[in-house]
Amino acid sequence: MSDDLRFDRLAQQEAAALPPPADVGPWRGAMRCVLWGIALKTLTLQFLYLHYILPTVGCILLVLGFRTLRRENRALRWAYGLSVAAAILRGAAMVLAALPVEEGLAFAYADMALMQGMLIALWRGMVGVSRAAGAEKPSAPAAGVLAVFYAVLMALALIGLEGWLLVLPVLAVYLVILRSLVKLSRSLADTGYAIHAAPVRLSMAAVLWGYLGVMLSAVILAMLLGQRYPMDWQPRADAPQDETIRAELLALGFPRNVLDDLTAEEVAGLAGASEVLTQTDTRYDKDKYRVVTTDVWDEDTPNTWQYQSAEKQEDGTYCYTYHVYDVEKVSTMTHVAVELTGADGEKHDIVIHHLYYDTRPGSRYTEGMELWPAWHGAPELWRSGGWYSGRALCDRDERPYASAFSALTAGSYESAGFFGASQRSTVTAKWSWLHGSGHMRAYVLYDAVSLVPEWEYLDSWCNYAHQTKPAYPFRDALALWHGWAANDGFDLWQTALQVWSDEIA
Amino acid sequence: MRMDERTIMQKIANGDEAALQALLRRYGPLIRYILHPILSDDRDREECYADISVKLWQTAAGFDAQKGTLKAWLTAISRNTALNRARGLRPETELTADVPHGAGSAEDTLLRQERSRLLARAVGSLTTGEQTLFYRKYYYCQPTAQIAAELGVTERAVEGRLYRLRQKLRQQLGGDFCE
Repeated sequence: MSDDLRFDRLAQQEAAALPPPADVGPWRGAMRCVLWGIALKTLTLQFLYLHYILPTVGCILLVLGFRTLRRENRALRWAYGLSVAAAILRGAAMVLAALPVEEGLAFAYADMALMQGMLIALWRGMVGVSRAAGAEKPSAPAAGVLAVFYAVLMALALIGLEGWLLVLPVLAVYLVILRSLVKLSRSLADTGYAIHAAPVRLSMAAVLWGYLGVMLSAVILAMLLGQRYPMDWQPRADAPQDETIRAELLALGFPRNVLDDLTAEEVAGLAGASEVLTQTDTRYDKDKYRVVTTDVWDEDTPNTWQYQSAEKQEDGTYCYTYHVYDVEKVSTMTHVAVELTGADGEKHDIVIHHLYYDTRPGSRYTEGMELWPAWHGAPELWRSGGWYSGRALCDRDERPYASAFSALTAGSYESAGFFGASQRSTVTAKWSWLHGSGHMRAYVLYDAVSLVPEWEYLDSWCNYAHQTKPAYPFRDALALWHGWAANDGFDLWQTALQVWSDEIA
Repeated sequence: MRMDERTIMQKIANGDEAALQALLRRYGPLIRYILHPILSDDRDREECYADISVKLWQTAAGFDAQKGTLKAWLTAISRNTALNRARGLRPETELTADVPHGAGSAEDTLLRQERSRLLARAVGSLTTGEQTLFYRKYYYCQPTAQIAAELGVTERAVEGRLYRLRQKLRQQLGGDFCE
């Protein structure tokens, strides 16, 4: 007899003298997983990403619990199948949430349906276990009540009933039912010895951490590689612009670099221009500056100057030190307004906001421009002429590329202010830059029609947002700006064309 | 619950057959769960189950709720009865809940008591997971496949853990345990 066999025999013999151990049957552990799974999957805590993490852990706990019980009866086998389907669905939903796709409510409805099916299967499965163990009246009332309760909850969610007055009693009832289910599970602990645990090929830890690891990797990959808008980048092959119109515009002072980027149709739309107004704004690198010292105090320094200190000199005068942030240009925004009289006899101003990147941005996720057009702040002076256009351009490998925006929309939103709500108009462009490209430009053009014979001022804002890091769930640059997480994950540049009529020569 | 157990055992001790039936209905799955890995033959298990029922009927008066739970008492009786049947031991060397080993010489008895003491101390020093594994292997005599399925791990993993458990126990118990 080998040493191991002899040891096993003696240990088995002497173990009789030890106090009998606590419960070891398969039921308790499996039901613990199932109950925790139901609790984590059903309750949601909307902070610290817990509304993503807890239901995901809940999903996999349900799989692990039902995996042990799956061979016991048909209902539990169904519950296992449904839990696997729910875990796959959850994984897909988690990955899709990292991508710029509209999920809709299909995932939520499918998840609810699977959960409902799982609860019904659990109820029938527990009744089956009770019957198999020889119970006189096999039943599992708490599991049945939970299935009914969940159905009611789904119905309430579908008809849109919500609010604290409803949530609190629902939560209380849910906790009572869950407690009853725990009690039922304990009462079935002795019955549960009749269960035969199904063999497994992967350990619980491997399934749990494997699932969470794969999902986390997929989500991170989706965030890093997928948080971009689909674009149709093509080598630039524009039709030639009308030379006469082009010459007229240049003569009126239209910036050549902006004109070069317009399409032939857009240039044609500018025919008959009587005036061209141009303003330029430059953005510099916020981390690079030069130090300037001066003995002249200036109350009105440029906004790139940042006062640091003042030092008294021997002769009693002061020497002032500034950090001047104009070392490295990041981007340039050129605002152009072309005044012309349309075929309808109305006075039009075609406004163009043109962005040019002097450097290459470090991150290439999503970009967005939200224009507050001329009629945004002065609806009594301007209205939309209905023409919106624009695109993104860049160079790669010394070859020019162009693409339409992923989205270019004109709309309005309701703004709540001190004097009540008001409708604010916007023009929005969304896009992503081409990987490996440089010399990047984007412009948005719109037509504003003057409602008065002589307009007083033209005020057109361009809010450019650049996403600097991925966000979960996916939110594009503009959504990040509109969100409440201030300055997290995006750069915002607010710049405007502001012209008073008396400034025009 | 403890009161219920005491009452039910009192009733059985007083000859209440319905109380015994109720007890077996409740704990039947547990008894069968214990018998299953020890006795491979269905008929042996049914006969052993019947033996246990008789024992419960005969020894109900000996149950002392102060010493432990009814479940623990039933577990010990079921396990030892099954092992006795499996080993084909003579009645006078039967394992019982109170006297786990067969009678032998005084020296044998002392040696076994010392082994039991050593083992109890070694098991007490194990982690919860190791204790679970020990009890499943050496108390319930469960095969590797059953342990693996119920713990939700692979058989290979169980074998590895058992190997490490044996090493650890042998180290703690010293060479005397196996002699």
